Amino acid sequence: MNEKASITKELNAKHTKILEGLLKLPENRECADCKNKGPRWASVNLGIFICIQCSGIHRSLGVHVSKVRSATLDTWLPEQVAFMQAMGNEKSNSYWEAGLPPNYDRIGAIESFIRAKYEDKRWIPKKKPHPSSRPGGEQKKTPAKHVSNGISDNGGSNRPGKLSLMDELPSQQTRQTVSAGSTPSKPHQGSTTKVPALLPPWTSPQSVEKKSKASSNSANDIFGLMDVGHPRDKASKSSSASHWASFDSAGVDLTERVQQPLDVPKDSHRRASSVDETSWARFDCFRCFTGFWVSKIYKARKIWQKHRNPSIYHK
Amino acid sequence: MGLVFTKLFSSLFGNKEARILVLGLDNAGKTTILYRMQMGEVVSTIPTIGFNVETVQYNNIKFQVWDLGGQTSIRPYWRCYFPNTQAIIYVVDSSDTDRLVIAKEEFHAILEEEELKGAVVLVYANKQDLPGALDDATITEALELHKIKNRQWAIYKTSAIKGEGIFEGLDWLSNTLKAGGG
Repeated sequence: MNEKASITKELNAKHTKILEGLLKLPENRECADCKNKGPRWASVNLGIFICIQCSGIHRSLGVHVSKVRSATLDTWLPEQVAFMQAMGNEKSNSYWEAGLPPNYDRIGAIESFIRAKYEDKRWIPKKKPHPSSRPGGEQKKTPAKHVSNGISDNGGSNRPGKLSLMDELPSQQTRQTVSAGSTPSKPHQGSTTKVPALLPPWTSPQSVEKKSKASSNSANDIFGLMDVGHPRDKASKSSSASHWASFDSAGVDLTERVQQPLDVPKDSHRRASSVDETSWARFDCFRCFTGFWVSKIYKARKIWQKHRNPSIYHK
Repeated sequence: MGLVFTKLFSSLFGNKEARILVLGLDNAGKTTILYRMQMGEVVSTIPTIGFNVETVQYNNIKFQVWDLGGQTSIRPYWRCYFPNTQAIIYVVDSSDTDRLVIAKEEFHAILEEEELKGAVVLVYANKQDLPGALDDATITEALELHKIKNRQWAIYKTSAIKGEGIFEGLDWLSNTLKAGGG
């Protein structure tokens, strides 16, 4: 029952290998729902691999519809892994998308598509039973017979009958070289690697997503491969902050430059005070006047800025 | 003089700060709860890998709320956030009956942590809107909350989607913290 206690490190490593192998199969190389490349999440009761965005939608359906696990960050039960081997994206979609019109726009409204697909069961076949013979099934105690069923049903597909560690290694090597050429990384993913625990506290709401990298063989050093999945909030915040900071520093520069010419004669007029007292007195008066207003305007602007964007003063 | 007044005012009327950790298994609803508290609306989320942190001002307490990712392999990193924590909000998916045992084990592992000795515990029996969700009494049993010793705790039925129960829980939390708990 307890996934932590009952799953040994060795078994977990074996599961990781098997899941990595499954993710390399052509059918599982794209998200079962939105067709994005390189899914790293799964619905363990539907037997599909999905992307992190669709996993968020699946989670919102509730565990009675879909149970989401990460292929890389979660510990799996043996029966869950076996069910993933037996099912997969192709077989699952042959059931859930049996009646789906060919050119249906799934990306336009992906959430309502996923809800229609699994919650309303809008496109399931009328007669054909679910491939796992348990529609909408609970994966929890999926017996081994599902595995054998799945493989015999599978026919011409290139799915390996049994994925042991031995079988796994050669195919993994070849896959690495292939995917190294066509790096499947999503456009919104940043390239900076960060350990979440070390992220500074001011890095604002964000989620860090594991990069779908071919080189991530070991599940142990997953944190080395983390990158910021949604930097847009942070980016917008920091950019606006730096914009204000630069504006502010420009303002300081400006006032310094304004005050400089006023300060320069200060010394020179002392030295030259004997030359023409009245003209300097007049200049002094002018200087006081302008200096006063410049400083007033500067102060007012400072207060306005502080009001507009208090955050830069609290850093 | 002004400073004296400010100090007196803040000591009388709050401005107390509290550091809160929101913990629980993956897909318990931690992030949805955090943003329900902070913005009062339902946001669509993706699995949190890393953390989210927000400041929530409620009942004159400034809560600094940390929502940490719940996937199996990132749970060990929770402990990095334990120091100086006044309260734990432990979120349970009340409809995920298969994993209640795991939820219980993780919960009691947290309570054994030395760094969280003084933290009060608020349990949210979340997802009450879903079919088959267990009620607070059943979750209390399943999590063995009655085994908790030397610590203030409470459990609330919540639905982050409907916005029910969350602020009732925060009321308890703020009253408990003001009374010196945590």
